[in-house]
Formats: sequence, structure tokens, C-alpha cells
Amino acid sequence: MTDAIVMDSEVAQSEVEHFIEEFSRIRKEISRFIVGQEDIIEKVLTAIVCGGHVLLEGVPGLGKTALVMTIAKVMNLNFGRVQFTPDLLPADLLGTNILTDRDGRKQFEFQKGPIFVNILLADEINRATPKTQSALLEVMQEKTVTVAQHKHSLHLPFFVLATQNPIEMDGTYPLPEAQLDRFFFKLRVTLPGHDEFFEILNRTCGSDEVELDAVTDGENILRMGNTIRHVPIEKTIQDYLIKIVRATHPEDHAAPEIVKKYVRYGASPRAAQAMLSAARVTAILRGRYHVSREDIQDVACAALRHRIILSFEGEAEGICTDTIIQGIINQ
Amino acid sequence: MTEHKKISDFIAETRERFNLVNLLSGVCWGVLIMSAGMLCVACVYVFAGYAVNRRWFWLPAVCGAVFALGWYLLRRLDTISSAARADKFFGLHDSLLSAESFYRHDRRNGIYELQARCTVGLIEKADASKIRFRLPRRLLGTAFILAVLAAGLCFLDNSPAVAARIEEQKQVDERTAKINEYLKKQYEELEKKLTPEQKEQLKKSELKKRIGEFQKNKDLKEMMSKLAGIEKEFRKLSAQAAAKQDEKFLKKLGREMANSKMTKKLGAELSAGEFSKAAKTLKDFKSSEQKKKGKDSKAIRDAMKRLARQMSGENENSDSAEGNQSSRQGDVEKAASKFRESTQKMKSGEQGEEGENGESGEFKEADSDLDDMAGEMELLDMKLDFSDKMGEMAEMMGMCQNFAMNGPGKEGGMKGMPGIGESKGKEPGKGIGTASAGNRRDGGDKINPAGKTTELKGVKGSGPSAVSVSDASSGSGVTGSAANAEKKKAFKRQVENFVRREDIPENLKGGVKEYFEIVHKKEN
Repeated sequence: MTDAIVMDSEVAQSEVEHFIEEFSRIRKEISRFIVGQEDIIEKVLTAIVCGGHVLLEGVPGLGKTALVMTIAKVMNLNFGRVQFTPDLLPADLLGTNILTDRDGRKQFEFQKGPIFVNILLADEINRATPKTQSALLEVMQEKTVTVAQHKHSLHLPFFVLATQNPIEMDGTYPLPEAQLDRFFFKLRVTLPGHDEFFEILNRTCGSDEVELDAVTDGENILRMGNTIRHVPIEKTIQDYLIKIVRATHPEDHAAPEIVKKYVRYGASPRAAQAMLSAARVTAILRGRYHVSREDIQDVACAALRHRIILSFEGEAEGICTDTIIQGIINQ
Repeated sequence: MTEHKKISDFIAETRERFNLVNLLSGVCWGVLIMSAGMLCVACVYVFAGYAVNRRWFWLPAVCGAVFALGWYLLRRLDTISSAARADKFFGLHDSLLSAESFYRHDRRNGIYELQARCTVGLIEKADASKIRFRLPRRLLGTAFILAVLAAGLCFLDNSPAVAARIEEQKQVDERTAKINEYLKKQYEELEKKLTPEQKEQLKKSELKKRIGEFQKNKDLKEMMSKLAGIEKEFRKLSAQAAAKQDEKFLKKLGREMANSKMTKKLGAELSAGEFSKAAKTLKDFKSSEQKKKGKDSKAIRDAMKRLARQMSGENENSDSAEGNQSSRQGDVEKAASKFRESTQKMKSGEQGEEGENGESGEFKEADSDLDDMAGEMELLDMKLDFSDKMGEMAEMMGMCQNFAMNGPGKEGGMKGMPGIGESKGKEPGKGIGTASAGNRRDGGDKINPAGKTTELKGVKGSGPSAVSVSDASSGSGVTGSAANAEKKKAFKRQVENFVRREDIPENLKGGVKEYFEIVHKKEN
């Protein structure tokens, strides 16, 4: 079983209480502007607390960008938005060395790009070319930028909240597998219900504007991230998690028939790390001090759906990766 | 009480209850298996046409018990698996499992302590007594229905065909026992009557072994086959004994003939056992005598010729005597008879020719020799005692086969067998080989002690058949009497038995069988 960092029970209790309190406060503040989408909000916050990046997928107008901007405001973090377009270059994103004249001396100085923020909104990320998309690989994993053999560290916390439109595929470049694997969660933003629609109209089309408060900061986010590392997981439950991830590979003997038929490549160990971290957050939020199977099942779809690469047959038959994941869980 | 104590107590309680539920569940499944098994056993019997033998119900009962026990042992929970099951039962989200596991791995402080406290809070709300055995009504109902069906099938009786088969088997067993007892008794009596040499011959044969094998027969066919085997052994012994006696007789005859001047050479060859040479000498003797005697000595020449043929046949068949034992025995009898005739004729010829032929003294001498030979041949009848006994035993086997086929009380049954044919047979037992010799094949070619019989003799197997079949219109034939019909039936079975025998050549079996089928069709 994964060792949790041992700390005094009182300290542990206070840390857990702090986590729950902070999480609830942030969620509550976000909910003041974002109508509904509780699951999406919780998952985004989970990913942020765990230091992961989120890919939000949904048709235009569902509030993806609004959600990200709200989170940035509530968390009181530096926020940057980049509209990904086909002509966007890596230097436009990461920054570049420019020649400057300082006290009569000309020298190259690194001009930071928009990526040097705490929260980066990569809007419509699949419209940029693969070259520009690949510029995010290092920064998303290492949280550093290397330009001209000089490595620049980003301020923590750092996370990328990217959006993409699943239906408008002309002039888009599907994200490469390596890029997809760096996203902690991929969340599907769905159409709100009737009541939610009603509330959205009331909140946004009226004369009153919602003033959001910054209820936390980057330090608290990092502290919350540290707290979840203390949550233990029992050996058999950890085995269960590993079995689920391994079962996404068609060559695994425990893989169900649907995986063998429709999956070309399964999830990586990074997926298991993401699932464990997210399950720990879920466990704490459910008032427990250990990870259970239900926690793992709760986060499985969000953590695995973008990491499973469908085969030709899967693509041709329009198989959804969520169906495959449910098949693995129900096995 | 510490948190862990509460947790472990709760797990122990739930474990006990889960195991009890497992046991009861296993018992229910065991009952279902037992019922299904009973129905299967009953169906097996019923579909085979038998009445259900309830004694086999122990098998599904044991299977059910073993299954219940195996179910319990295999599914018996340990502490960890019990904790996991309790988590699932009470919706504790792996709290018990995690708490127990953390405690076992000595992780008891910090957040683990919080986890234990949290778990205790959860189990305080849980009631272990909720773990109850729910009676599986459908399962037990199915088991009950199956058991009722099985019980219902138990009331069915044997099918008519099976009942008949059982009855037949019963009769076969009874007859086997009786025949077996009779055979042993006869064998012991036979042993007592035989000379040491004959006993030795008897011991060398497979007769005792075959009689010993005749203990239990699964059906009539097997019984008939064994009886045929025993009969074959008797006939083999009889043939061997006859061959030996023939040889002895001819040698003795030779010694007697050697005393006469005229038949000295012939007698020497016979006594030396050179029968081919003796036959040749006898032929030469015949041709020389023909020149001398003319027509009047024809009878003597014929007798000599037959004797030559007889001796020649003896020499050829001495190694393979068993196949045509009866014909050989008959030939010896005939030879004796013909010699007697020859002697008589010679005497009458002597009276008519006296004074005409100067060699009448030599004929008188030959007459004396031939008289002796005839006397010796008559003695052969007595010498062939062992052979006859074997033949009689073989005939007795025929009776046994008839008994096996028809059972007691029928005409072809073992009327001669004491204790078997007496009660139901038409005639009381008369001893071995005498009572029903006529019921079997034509009593064999016995030596006629009366001597002068005038019967037409042909070469066996070469002449036309003495049997002529007259075709009648179908269904118009009327049997003379019931006894006659029984006789025919018995004869038919005897032919069947004959065909079944192993010593009948394969090429002849087909013909005999075909003949029998034709007769059978005509009968029907």
C-alpha cells in the first residue's frame, strides 16, 4: 500500500478540516457565478489541488471560459488567456529572447510569454498547430520553460485549463497522445438543464453583476495539495486501481472484450497517479481518511477517457471511451 | 475499549454470521443437488425400462452433502475477506478493510488513527444482526419439486420387456446353478470310474477348467457357448481315447495275425504300428488271392479291402482323430462286423470248395485268424469304454444345452439328470447318456453287439442326402402332435447349437445355417 506521510493525528485532522473548508469555500464562491455544473467544478478544483491540468470539452457557449476565469478570480491567482490559433507560434506562448539596450550595452533578454501565470486558459487549444501544442509539453509536466538553453521556472501553483470544441473540426489539429496524457482530467461540459438555464439568464442578463471574492490563494492551494498526500490507501484497493488501468490495454489478459476489440492503446502510469490523487481528494471530500473503491470509480472516467486511444473499429463504430471505462469497472 | 478492539469485535461478529449464512446456503444448494441427482438416478432407471432402485439414492445424497461441505469450506471467510464483505453489506466504503489492514501493518498513528476513529463511528451505526440467512425459496421450491418427481418415478414398475429379460436372466442363473452342480457331480463320478491312465488323460484336458468356468453366465448365449465348449472337450477326449484304443486294437490284431503263416507279414506290420505298410500288404495279399480264388473268395477280398481301407484311414487320422471321431468309431465297428461276415462266408465257401482247392488248410487257418480278429473287434466295444463315457458325457452336455434352452419339464430337457428332470420331466431319470440319447442327434455310430446287420452303407459325405424336403402350401401344414412340434423345436435348437460349436468349419456353418433358416421359414 502507498505510504502516507505520517503526521500527528491532531495535525492531520486540522489539515483535513482545512482542506475541506477551503474546498467548500472555493466551490461555494464559484457557484455564485457558475450555475449548476457541480461535478465539473469539483473535478476542476480537484485537478487544481492535485497540481494537474484540465481539458474542458464542450460546444461553444456552455461557460467553459467563464468557469476558468471565475476560478482564477476566486483563487486570487495570476490568470492568462491565450486564444490558440493556427498561426500561433511557440514563442508567442513561451516567450523569446529579444535584444535590448541597457546602459549602452546591448544584450539578449528573455521576454516572458503569456504562459508565465498561475492559471493559463488555453482557449480552443486544438486550433493551434502541433508545433505550438508541443510547446506546452515541458511546461505542463516540468512546470519550466527552456529557451536558448536557459531554463525558466514558473510560479507555483501552475495549471493549464484548456478548452476544445468537439464538433467544429475544420482547421483543427487533434492533440497528440503525449499532450493528452499530460492533462489530469478531461471533462465534458454538458448542456445545462431547464432550471439551470433559467438561473443563467437571471444572473447574466440582469442589471446586477455578481462580484466574486478571492477566497483563497496559491499558498492555500499548495497546502491543500500537500494534505491529500497523507490520505492512505489499502493494498487491495490499490491493486484494484492498478487492475483498472491495466485493463485499458487490449494486450492485458484481464482486459474485457470491449477493450480488446475497440482499444488501440490504453492508459499510462500517469493515469494511475492521477486517479490515486483524485481519489484521495474525493475520499476527504466524502469525510473519510482512506481511499475506497468508490472513490476510484468516481474519478476513473475523467482520468482515463482521454488516455484511451481507440482503434479503427472503435472510431468507425463511434464507441465512446466512457463506455469502455464503464465496461472495465463493471467487470 | 480502543478503536481497533471495537473494529475487530465487529469484524469477528460479522464473520461468524457470514460463515453461518454460507453454510446454510451451501446446505440449500446441496439439497437442490441431491434432489436433482435423485431425479437423474430415477430417470436413468425409468428410461432404461427398469423400476427405480432406491438404493442408489445414497449417491446424490452424498454428492449434495459433499457439495454443501465444499461450498462452506471454500467460501469460509477469513478476517480480511469478512471485513471486505461487511463493508459491502453495510456500505462502509472499505472502511473496515482499510482499518484492519492498516492495523495489521502497524500503521496506527496520525491519519490512521483518524481513519480508525471514523470507522468506529460508522460501525456504531451498523447492526451485525442484520446479517441473516434468507431462505432461498425458489431454490428450495425447485429442490422440492425435483424430489417429488423423483419420488413419483419410484412408483413405476419394470417395463414388460425388462421384466421378461429379468425373468430370463433369473432362469439362466437357476439353470446355470443346476447344470453347474450336475456337471461337478458327474465329473466326480466319472473320475471315480476311470482307470489311472484315463484319469491322467482327463487331467491333461481342459475339461475341469471349463467346468470350473461354468459358474456364472450373464445370458443364455454365454451359457450355451460354455456348454458347447464343455461338450467339445468331452468329444475331444472321446476321440483321443478312441484313437488310442484303435491303435492298441490293431497292434494286438497284428500280433495275433503274426502267428499265422499267411498273415505273418501283415501281422508284423500291424504290431509294429506301420499301418500304411500293412494296408499296402493287405492290398497285395488281395490281388494274389484274387488270382487264386476267383469269384468265391470275393467276399473275403471285400472284407480285406475294407480292412485295408480301415487301417489306411487309421494311420492317416491318428494325429487328428478328434474331428471325425464318431465316423471312425463306426468304421471300426463296421470292420468288426464285416470280418465276422467274411468269416462266415469263408466258412460256407470252404464247405463248397473242399476237395477242389489244395489250399483249403490255409484258409482254415485264416478263418481261425479272422475269427480271432472279429472276437477282438467285439472286445473293442468294451475297450472303448472311456471313449463311450466321454461320448455319453458329450451327449449329456447336449441334454444340458436343451435344459438351458428349454428349462426343466420339456421333452428336450434333462430328464436323465437326477434332481433336475425328475420333477417336471415326463420320464424319470435313467442315468447318464441313456435317457435322452434319442432326443439329441442320431445316437452316434455305436458298435452293434449283435454283429450281423444288413444295412446300406455309402461313403459318408459323398452320396445323395437321405433327407428330402417336401414343400407344402404356406400355413396349411398341421403338426401331428404337440410332442412332434416340440421335437422339431428341440431339433432346431440342437442344429443351432451345432452351428455355434467352434469345431465346425466356417464354410459348412453357412450352409447349415442357411438350411436351418429355410426350415425355419417353412415352419413359420
